[in-house]
Amino acid sequence: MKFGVVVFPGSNCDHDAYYAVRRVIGEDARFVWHTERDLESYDVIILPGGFSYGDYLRAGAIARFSPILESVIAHAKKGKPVIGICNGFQVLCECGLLPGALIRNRSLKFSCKWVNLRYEATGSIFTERYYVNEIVSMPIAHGEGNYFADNETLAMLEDTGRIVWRYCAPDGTSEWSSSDAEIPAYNPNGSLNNIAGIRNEFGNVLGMMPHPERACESVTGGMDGLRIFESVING
Amino acid sequence: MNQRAFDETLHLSPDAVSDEMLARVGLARDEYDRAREMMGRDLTIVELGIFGAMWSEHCCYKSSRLHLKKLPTKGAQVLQGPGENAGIVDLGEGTAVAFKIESHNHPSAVEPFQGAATGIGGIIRDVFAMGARPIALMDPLRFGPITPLTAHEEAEIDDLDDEVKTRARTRYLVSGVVSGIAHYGNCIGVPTVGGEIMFDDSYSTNPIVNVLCLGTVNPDEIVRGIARGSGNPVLYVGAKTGRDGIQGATFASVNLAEDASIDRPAVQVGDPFYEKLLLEACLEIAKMDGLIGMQDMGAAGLTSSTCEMAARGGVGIEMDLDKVPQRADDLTAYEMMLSESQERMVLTVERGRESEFIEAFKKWDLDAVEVGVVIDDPVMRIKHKGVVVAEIPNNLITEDAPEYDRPTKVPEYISAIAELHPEDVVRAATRVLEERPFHADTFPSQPNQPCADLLLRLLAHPNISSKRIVFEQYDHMVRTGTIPPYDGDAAVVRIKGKKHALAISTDCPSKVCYLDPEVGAMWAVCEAARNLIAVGARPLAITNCLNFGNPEDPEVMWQFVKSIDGMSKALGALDTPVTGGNVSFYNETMRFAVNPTPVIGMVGVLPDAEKRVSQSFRASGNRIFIVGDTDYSLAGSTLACYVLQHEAGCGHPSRPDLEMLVLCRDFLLKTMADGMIESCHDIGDGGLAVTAAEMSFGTGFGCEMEVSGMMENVESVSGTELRAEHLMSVFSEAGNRWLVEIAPENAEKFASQARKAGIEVCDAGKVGGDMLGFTFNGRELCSIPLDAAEKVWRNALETYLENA
Repeated sequence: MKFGVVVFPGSNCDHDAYYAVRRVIGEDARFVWHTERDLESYDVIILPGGFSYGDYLRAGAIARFSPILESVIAHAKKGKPVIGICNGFQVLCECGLLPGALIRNRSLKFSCKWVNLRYEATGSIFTERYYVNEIVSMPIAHGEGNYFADNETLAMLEDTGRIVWRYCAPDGTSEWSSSDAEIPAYNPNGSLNNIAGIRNEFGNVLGMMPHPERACESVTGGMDGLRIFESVING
Repeated sequence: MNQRAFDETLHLSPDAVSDEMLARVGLARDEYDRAREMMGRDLTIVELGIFGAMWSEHCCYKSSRLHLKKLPTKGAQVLQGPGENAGIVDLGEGTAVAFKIESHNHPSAVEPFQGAATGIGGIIRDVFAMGARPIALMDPLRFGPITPLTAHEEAEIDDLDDEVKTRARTRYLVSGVVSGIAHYGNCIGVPTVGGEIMFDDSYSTNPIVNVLCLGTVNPDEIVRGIARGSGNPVLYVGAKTGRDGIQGATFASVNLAEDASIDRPAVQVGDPFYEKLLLEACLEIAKMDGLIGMQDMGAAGLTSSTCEMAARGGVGIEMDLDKVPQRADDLTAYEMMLSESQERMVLTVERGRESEFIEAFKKWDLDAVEVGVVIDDPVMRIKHKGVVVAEIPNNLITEDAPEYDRPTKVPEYISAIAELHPEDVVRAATRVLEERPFHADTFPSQPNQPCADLLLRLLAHPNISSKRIVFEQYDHMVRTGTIPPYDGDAAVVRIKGKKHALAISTDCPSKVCYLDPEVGAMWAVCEAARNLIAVGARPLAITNCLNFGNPEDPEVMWQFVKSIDGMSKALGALDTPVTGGNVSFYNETMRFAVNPTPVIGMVGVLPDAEKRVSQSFRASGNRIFIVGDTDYSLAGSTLACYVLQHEAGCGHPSRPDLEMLVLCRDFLLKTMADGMIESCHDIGDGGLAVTAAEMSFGTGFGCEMEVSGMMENVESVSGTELRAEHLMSVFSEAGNRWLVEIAPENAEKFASQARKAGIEVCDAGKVGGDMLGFTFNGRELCSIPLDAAEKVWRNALETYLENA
């Protein structure tokens, strides 16, 4: 299986995603420069974390207009797998492959730490190796990861089981009350409904703020992210 | 003075060179006379500017050079010593590490966000200029106090309004500096893996913002900042030149104006996105045939970068400023030569291959332009609009720049420091406990156990409490090299594809340096070494950032010279030479200088990344050993300084036993390699009690320790009286000591091996329970619920920074 890791000017988790796929798992992976248009030979596209085009204007807002994005959209429309991690999730929302938006963290500060996530919904090609309600741990590292969508979209995501990852307490508790202004301590950025990752209708596109590529080896803190890549290989 | 009014080709007679003009370029009158004499003719305005920048303290180290020569710089491990963009040390297995520390104190005092951000940008460029991939950043920071004023302070301080304003400004500085580092480092994708953040009165108007970057490079692919081969082109790459940061080097070489905002135009603005492109492009071309040398345009921009490259190669460079990419209209030659616009590099390549380089940069949307040519004549020749506006022999602005042996004088305060009797600390501590209630509403109090109450106060001390609130704002994991735990004694970064990892620690106990600069500098080296040893790394070499006041003040100069002496001794004993660094003088406002702050950035190697030793307790029932010196002095300790405040200094810190440190290094690294050590933590700020507490935090395991074991002549006492030896046992920071966790079945073996190695150890208790418990000769000193202590430690800094 061949992975394409898209490199925008300013991507900085491109090497980490490449390393996870190529060195940790041993699959074929190539960097794909943002000016390229031909993705025919790739099976899976990774939009990595970082600050594409400096994230000037708004995170992911300029990347959405890059030449390669048309091809990424076409790739996704064919039902082929696309995962956006962190800045990649922001790009997926900006280009309309996923609904909603990622706004500044409630704290107005960048936040880098390990968080607990609850696996909620099946149906994503990237998560078949997790079991429902499993609690996993992965790092986040973002300043704009506060998931926002209108009520209608949120209800649609909930009703159609498209919320894949939710921030949770170590015991798996993940409570959200729309009337409550108090954000639970385990929600690191203020995301509505504690949303950490969502999928598209067909399950071939996944966007998530936590970094699975940073959670692939025990020496660097944990391996819970590895199955994201393994799922899509075996899927 | 408006340079535009000048004909830049004009050779100005001494009468035409006003004092104001000299002040503006940063030359003293005698320095000007000397420059003119060495040149043998009158100087142009451009030449004046070049001399001013290159003879500034920041560029030519005129007050420090003489003394820096005393530092050890050689060793089998050193591939590149001082004098390059960064030093390089061999890690083995075909990997070398390039590293360098620098200060950005002055810009950060004026504009904390951009000041700190451009500091990061500059130090990263220094590392990739060597062809090394930047893999980690560290930021040692020092600020004035941020804690709310206590009733005691309100009674002591004369101008309360002013103090309140200063503390508010300090919180603004902290937040600005931290966001600036986060902004630049996070965006460019180099993890910030550690550093320090400390608070002390002496930094109220002069914060210390030091930045350190490490990168890895194949020893065969090291690039150097050198120019060679007459006729070879000089390429300019990166951002266009503008008027920002003109004379930043000169700015960094004078005391700050009282109102720091006046100096704002001397601060540059950074663009991490742009630098990310420059970084990737430069690392690509570093591997290309035909590259001769590469250099960052840092302080004194185009001037220093080109003349340093030429000087290293024994050649000259002729530059045509009309070709320099310019961001503003009508830039003068003077402005172009002295601009410190960010994100710019200079390259020399072989003639005929320049188009290959220009093409390679184009892929990254970067313009590379030929701005000059290498010439045999060892001069810097600058042309603008077809005429020569400056021509200076290289040596005059490099090795023949002024070097001063400035006068020194023992500071008055030093002779006034009294011997610290432990009983004084007991009296002061008792008084503090009685008179100064400890934020009673926010934190729990332990009135019946003085040591417990003092421990809680230390855990809430801004210098000791958890730095999580700051650290989480930095991306410390990008590049997936950082090996947790992230808050250990030293940061550990693996090298992908290799078995080994590198470790790094930055340290400087500046209070101790104030009390005794020589001993303080030794402490700084020892502490850095202890930290590396605690994670299982063998110390290899250092980079240093020497932050001091005004060197023209003989008392400051004395501090500097003494610090170098102490540092040399400690570095020699440990065989950890200096590979480069930075001197930052003039950290002084209105004759109020910072504590001597010689920050040590020490690099070490772990033979096996998987065997990194953590500082967290691993299992209930394991034994806790105290290992190392038996010096229990309280002089210079956080506790003594906290309870005594300013009334009596804090005594004479004791000289560390360097031979013992070397013995301990070898013994601990050996026992770690044998897998005998479960966890290890260096006894540093706050002493043994804080160290044990930190080993407990996050694990759920408390501890029960008998702390009198290594102390001599301990009497058995009863009653509730607080005694000197109690404080010494749990709060002394002297000597080189560690707490080490050993499984019970290995305890006997560990102790006997230590004795064989000539090292004092003491089985002082065990891991477990839910209390932090310390007894002295059987008498309970302190017993605090672990969760209460942990809460105090975790939340203190956030409380000070956010809820003030």
